[in-house]
Amino acid sequence: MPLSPTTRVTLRHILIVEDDPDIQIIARVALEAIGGYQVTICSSGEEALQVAPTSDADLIMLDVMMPGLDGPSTMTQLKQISALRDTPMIFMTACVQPSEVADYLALGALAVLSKPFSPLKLPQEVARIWSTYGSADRS
Amino acid sequence: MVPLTEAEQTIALLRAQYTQQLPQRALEVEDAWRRAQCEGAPGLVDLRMLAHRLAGSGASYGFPEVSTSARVLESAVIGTVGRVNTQTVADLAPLAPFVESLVLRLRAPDAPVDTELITYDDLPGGDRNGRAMRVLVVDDDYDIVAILTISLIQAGYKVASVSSGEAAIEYLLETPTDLVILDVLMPGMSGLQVLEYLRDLVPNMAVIVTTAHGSEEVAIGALRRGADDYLRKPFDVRDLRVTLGRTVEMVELRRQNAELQQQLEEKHQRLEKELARAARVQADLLPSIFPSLPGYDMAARCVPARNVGGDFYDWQIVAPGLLNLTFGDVMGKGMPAALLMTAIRAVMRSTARAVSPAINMRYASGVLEPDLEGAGSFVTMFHAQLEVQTGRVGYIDAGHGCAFVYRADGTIDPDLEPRGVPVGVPRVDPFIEGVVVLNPGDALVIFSDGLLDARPDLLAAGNRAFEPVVAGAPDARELLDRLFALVDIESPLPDDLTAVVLMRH
Repeated sequence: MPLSPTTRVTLRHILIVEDDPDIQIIARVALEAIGGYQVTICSSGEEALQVAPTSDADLIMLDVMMPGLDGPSTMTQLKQISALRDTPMIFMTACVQPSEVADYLALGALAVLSKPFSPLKLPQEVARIWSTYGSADRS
Repeated sequence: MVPLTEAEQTIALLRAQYTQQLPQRALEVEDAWRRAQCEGAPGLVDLRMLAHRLAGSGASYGFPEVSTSARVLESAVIGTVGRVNTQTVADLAPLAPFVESLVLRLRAPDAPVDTELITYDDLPGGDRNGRAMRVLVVDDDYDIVAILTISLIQAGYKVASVSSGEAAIEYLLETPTDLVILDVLMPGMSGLQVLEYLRDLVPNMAVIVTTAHGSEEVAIGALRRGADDYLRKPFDVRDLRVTLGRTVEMVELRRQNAELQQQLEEKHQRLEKELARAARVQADLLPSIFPSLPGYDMAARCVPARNVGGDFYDWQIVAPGLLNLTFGDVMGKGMPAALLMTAIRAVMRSTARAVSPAINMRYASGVLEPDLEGAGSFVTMFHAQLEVQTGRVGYIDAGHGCAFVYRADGTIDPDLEPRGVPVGVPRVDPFIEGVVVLNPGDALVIFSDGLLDARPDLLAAGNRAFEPVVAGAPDARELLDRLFALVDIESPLPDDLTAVVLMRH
């Protein structure tokens, strides 16, 4: 079985697309200081479309509700960029409706994280999602 | 990885900064709310965005209640925008308590959650029976509180929420509530403990417990302890609606039931009261003062099987040295018999004179028979007339039969002939009078068949069976007591129990 060219076993670099500065800063602290990841932040979907193709991010985390391009639209457009076609993406949302979670997964999201998150637990949660992605990819 | 403590210090610092900003956020929320009320949509969009951000960030900074309040406001805004076409001030009024709650929370983010009550009253809609159901949500998970609160409010319920079992009980002691949605697993007082407490406290309130996936056994335990239904987490709006629908229906049925039960109880109590009054009235109708009869003594007693009954006795001195004594037993017992009994007593009182018992009975029955026929009833009567001087007793036995003469030598004249048919039964023969003479030491004993109903053995043996019972009784009172001692009058009687004794000395 041929290995996917994008297979990565180690998660190093996370791109976060989030408009709320309060979330930006707490996510950065959680993932950098506690998780030990490299974090890049975009404050809007439009900015993500500029930054992501050359960012070399292993994982993209998107807020769902943003002014301008919202999370789902941003993800759809990101996935049309060939360099990002296989980059796993996660939604962060304050929505707890299982039906909406299913919609986001159907769009091609790897997982849906619920907000607000606990900064101390966020790195573990991301690592857990990454490990399921990695193992599924290797099999 | 950097040491966790260092990261925690950083987070604590961020939290302090975030906390400092909260009063500013409160102003922003109030500003957006003011603009929403003036200009509509743009203000509303800002209000929603502010709420959305606070909902998404509050708990991350250690303020889960900020997240809950904000999320509830956000959902309420979405619900309002979805419901109304034009945003007038009146349309937005239902949002006010949500805004107020969030602003309060932002100004005092560390206020104890247990004492906080987020109540959302005065909301339109969902009021099926002219009255919205009151629901209390009890959960320490602000996400669950938020989703339940939102869903319930949108469905038209009046909702309050608390985050601990202790607070739930405090709230429920004060506030009438139709339904509680109760988390089973909470720190402190557990849902099951709350449940047990609630069942005694407010038995008519419905309880839905929420349990985590995989804890079905806990749910079953809760149902055994009196929960009405359970909801498994995570749930979506459909699950909630189904469970709610079921429970609401049950609550409504239970409420109607309780109402009917209450009405029944009141009616019953009223009837009981009336019956007790009737019993007193009836008891007063029986003579309690014995006539002064030189050389004789009398005793009489009546114990109705129910409060009131159809037995009666009465006596009158109709002429010097002449006593009329009437004993009646109306068919059946209870109120119908009692009504007829009072009528018969009155008729006998007004018609019986110092003429022969046969004539008295002829007059009385002439008046009574149409009434008895109409009521489909009859009365057995023993109407006697004593000549005090001679001890001669003339009598009419209208189908009664329960009478005998006790002789001074201890024997009994068992049958006082002749016996006719009861009053109210089609009469062929005229009343025929019998005669018996009481000598000193003799007694005339008249009783109701209630005595025989209670002692079927006596019925089979005939009146002579009373010989050993009454032998040697020195006076009327003693004789009467011995008759009543045959029956346990404390236990329910099959029929009214009455006896009259007239003894010559």
